[in-house]
Amino acid sequence: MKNEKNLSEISIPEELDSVIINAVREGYNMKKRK
Amino acid sequence: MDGGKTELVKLAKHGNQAAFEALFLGEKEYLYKMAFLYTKNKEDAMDLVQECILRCIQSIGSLKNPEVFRTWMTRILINCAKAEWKKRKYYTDMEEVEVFAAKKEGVSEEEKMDLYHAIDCLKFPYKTIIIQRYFAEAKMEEIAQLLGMPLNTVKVYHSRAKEQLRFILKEELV
Repeated sequence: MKNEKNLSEISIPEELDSVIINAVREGYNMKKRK
Repeated sequence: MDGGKTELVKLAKHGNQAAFEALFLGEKEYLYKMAFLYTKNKEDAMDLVQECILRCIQSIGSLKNPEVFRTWMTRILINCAKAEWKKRKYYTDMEEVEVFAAKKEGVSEEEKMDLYHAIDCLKFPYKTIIIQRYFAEAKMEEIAQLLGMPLNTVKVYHSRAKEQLRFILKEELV
């Protein structure tokens, strides 16, 4: 498929790790409260 | 999925937060890129990743087979994207298979040539099929499993999705 290269060129934001870690923490806190 | 990941999923199912963290960090590139393909911008993609993680944690009990974690996670991501799409009133009936209406107004010729935009114009089953097939390099059988659709239906939708992309891009894609 043409332009397929574009799809693999999506750059990963530096803050993604911290976003994931915070989301997991928040998710577990929400689950505990239930 | 390798044994290590399977073990992490099992631990996560038992409430191990560190295991869940490791699982998502291990899938971060895939997760973010999939989210980006649905949202087309960084901020919304990050929001989608967060929402997906929250829902995964809430519903980890529903994952019966740890070996299909990625498929299960992807399905949740798609559902989150669909919910957001619906919220923004761009969503139309998922079962409808007629040719979509490409967003013609306010879109330059240059943008129409952009594959991201073309994918964004597709309705949900088609969008998912194209993203999974050409980005995630999933097999048709895997896409059928992901969408919970018969294989033949996915093949027909795939064909229609390509027709629609050709229509948008006004050139042959394959």
